[in-house]
Amino acid sequence: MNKKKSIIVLSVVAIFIILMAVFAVVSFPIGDTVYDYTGYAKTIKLGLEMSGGVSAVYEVLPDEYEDLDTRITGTISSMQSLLVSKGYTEATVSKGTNSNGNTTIRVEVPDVDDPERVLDLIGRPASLYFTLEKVDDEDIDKLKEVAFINGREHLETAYVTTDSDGQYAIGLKFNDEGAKVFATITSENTGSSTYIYVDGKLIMQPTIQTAITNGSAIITGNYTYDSAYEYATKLQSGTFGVTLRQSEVRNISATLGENSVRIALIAGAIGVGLIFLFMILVYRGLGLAADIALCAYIVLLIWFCAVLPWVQLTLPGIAGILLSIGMAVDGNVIIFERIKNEYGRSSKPIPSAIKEGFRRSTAAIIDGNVTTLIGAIVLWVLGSSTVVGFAVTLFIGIILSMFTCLVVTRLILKCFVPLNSRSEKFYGLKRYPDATDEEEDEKPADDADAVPVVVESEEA
Amino acid sequence: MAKNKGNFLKYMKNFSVTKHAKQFGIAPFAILIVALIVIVVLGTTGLGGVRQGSYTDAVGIGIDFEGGTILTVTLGEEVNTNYEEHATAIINKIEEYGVKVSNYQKQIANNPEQNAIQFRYKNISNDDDAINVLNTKIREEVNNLYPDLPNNVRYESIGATAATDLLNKAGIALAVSVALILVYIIIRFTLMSGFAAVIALLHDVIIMFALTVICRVQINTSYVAAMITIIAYSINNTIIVFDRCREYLKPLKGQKNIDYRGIADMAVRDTFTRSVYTTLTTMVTVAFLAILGGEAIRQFCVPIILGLVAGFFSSVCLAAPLWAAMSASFDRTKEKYAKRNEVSYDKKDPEGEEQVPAKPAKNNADKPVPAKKPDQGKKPNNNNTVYKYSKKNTQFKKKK
Repeated sequence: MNKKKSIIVLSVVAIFIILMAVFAVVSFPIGDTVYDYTGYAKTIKLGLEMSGGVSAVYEVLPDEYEDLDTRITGTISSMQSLLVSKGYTEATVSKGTNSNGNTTIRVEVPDVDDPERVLDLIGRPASLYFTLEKVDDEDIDKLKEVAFINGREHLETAYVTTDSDGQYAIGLKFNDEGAKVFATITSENTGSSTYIYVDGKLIMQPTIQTAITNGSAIITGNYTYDSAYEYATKLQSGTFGVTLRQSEVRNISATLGENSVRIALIAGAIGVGLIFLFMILVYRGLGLAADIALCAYIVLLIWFCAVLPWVQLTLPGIAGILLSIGMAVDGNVIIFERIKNEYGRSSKPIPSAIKEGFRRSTAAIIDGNVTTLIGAIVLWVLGSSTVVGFAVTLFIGIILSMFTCLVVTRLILKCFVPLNSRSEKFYGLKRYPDATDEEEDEKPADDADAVPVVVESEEA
Repeated sequence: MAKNKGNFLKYMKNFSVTKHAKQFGIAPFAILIVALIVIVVLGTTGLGGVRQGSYTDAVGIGIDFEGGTILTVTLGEEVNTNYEEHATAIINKIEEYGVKVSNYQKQIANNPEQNAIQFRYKNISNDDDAINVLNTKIREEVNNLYPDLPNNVRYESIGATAATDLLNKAGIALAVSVALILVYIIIRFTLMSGFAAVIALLHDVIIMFALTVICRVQINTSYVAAMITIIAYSINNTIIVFDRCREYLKPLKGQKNIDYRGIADMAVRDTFTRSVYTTLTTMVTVAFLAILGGEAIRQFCVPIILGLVAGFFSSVCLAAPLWAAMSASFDRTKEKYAKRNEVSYDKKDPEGEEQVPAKPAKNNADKPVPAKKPDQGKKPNNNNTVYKYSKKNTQFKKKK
């Protein structure tokens, strides 16, 4: 690389970082359209403890069936998975008892302002029946009598899927008993219509096209994603095994206090500022390169957190970010210590010491990060909803930290070299005074430097 | 290294971790014992807001896992104007009854008159009746704070909010990732590196837990994440040390009686500056978060800071000596088996091999932690060569 090229590359990196930083925070209306651009940093979803959200309490109404407790637990986990599938990994669903002694289910969803939205999310708990004959609206008793599928007893889950032509459709999964019933009915009545009632209202009238014996069915029609989704949510809410009555829906504030986000930002800014200062003081020019790379790292991390749907920032998520910033700095420290070593103990010129330093530290950095990455991936796959957000943040952070220290820092240093390839002062490098002499002066008798590595026994 | 790095770093440059391995080994046990004492004492006496006889309380299991009570105080518009004042007054009242408020938050309803503050606290007893009696009393007392607002307080008991399977799943995830990490390290490093790293990792988990018990930090959902963060951090630290070991070991592949302790010392010394820098740069942000943030944020940051210290300690002071000791004894066992086979299949083995079987085997059994000394009886001494390993030029000097 020559000087001109270096300056161009450095300018491109600088412009990229500045633009990314500006677009993270500014908001403006987009010309000629009704849309506004919102800084992507502001679109990061926040968890309950940071931003508050909506809390809804449902009272479980006693009914005539048995095993109420099991069904309540089932409903809770079904609500929880419904929320997770919609990206609210930090939502909590818990069981309680109110002053009247009735069981309640409390749903808390973060980062939602409108209490009504929470009902759209988990659906209004409803009754769900499949019948073969048309029944008058609201005639629940008749419905119960003629229904062959009862949502809470037979249906496991409903979801949005696509058919063989790529059209959106609604997928249904029945439990064992439901699959049996559905298989008999569909094989006997191929070609006729079924009627699906939610809360006593007819919502769909699909035709049975073939006998469905394996317990999974799809309902096709010219659905858009949104309409398929709406139906799937309605059907899903029919699988809740209990009758619920909504007793209160409220907005709730952040449990960490109103300013938790601001405090986290300030602490982060001070911490990162100190790290920048530290790197420049200890590693001078190399530190400067690391700082530029860290800026790139930070804007990229914020951007990824904003665009990936699973990221919902909570305290654990912040821990993941802090750790990955630590590891990004760490990568640079490992490389620079190597460069210092390479330069100090040899007579190499600065550019080859830098190159050698990178070469020899790559394995360490990759190994260290891959082990952490394994942990993050396992947690992502196996962890429960609350740790998934954390795992994703950690995952992004590690990938980015590897990328910035191995690629961005190297690129920037490559650009520094043609501009200044001699100055020990700039790079903070120093030749060691003859290594053996130094060590022997300090500690002549000990094995500080010349460690016997293979002992084939001197004495005997 | 420059003079401004301070004497400590310089001292560490000549420090041998393997020589002090025993002292280092004592520290974790001491911490563990203190933690156990704290749990037993608090659990049996019921001091410090701990339910008597409840060891989960003594450990500090929080409301996320155990459930408790939500107390809702409806204050109308006042919630928006004097939130903190009301909250503080009510918390003081509630805590007079020996419970500790875990968190509190605003509740904004569509009708502003229904605006409320809700408080969550862990129950102080296991008995439903006792809980009801206490909650009724708290309700009355808090109500008395607001004579103009009759019946503005209600309570509701809640179950654990942390999905009941959070811990199970986290445990499974932990086990699976430890296994995978072990496999990865064994592939990339050596068998013994893998085991040493995993032992160091388990040390971190246990010590961080012990330290949080001692510091009386509540264990909530975010704690699980803090713990995983520390594990990730510490394993990374350990790998960096082992990377140096691997590098020093490379030219010695296939040699016998490798001085693992010397290698471990050098690896730790080489990476020490880096370990200190990294721990400090990671800690600085967490520390500021703890200083600036409120009680709840501090509850989260303290375990991380403790864990960073534990992680630093284990990767610098424990992992490498452990690796050295394990590798040396592994090599010796391997050699022993190899020789045993040799002896039994090829009895007429000439020169020097006959004295091998009995004696070294006994030595090994007595001394699981290898020293350099036992080597002497074991090897036939056909030559008196000592290889010296030098940092300056990575070559072997032959010395008489």
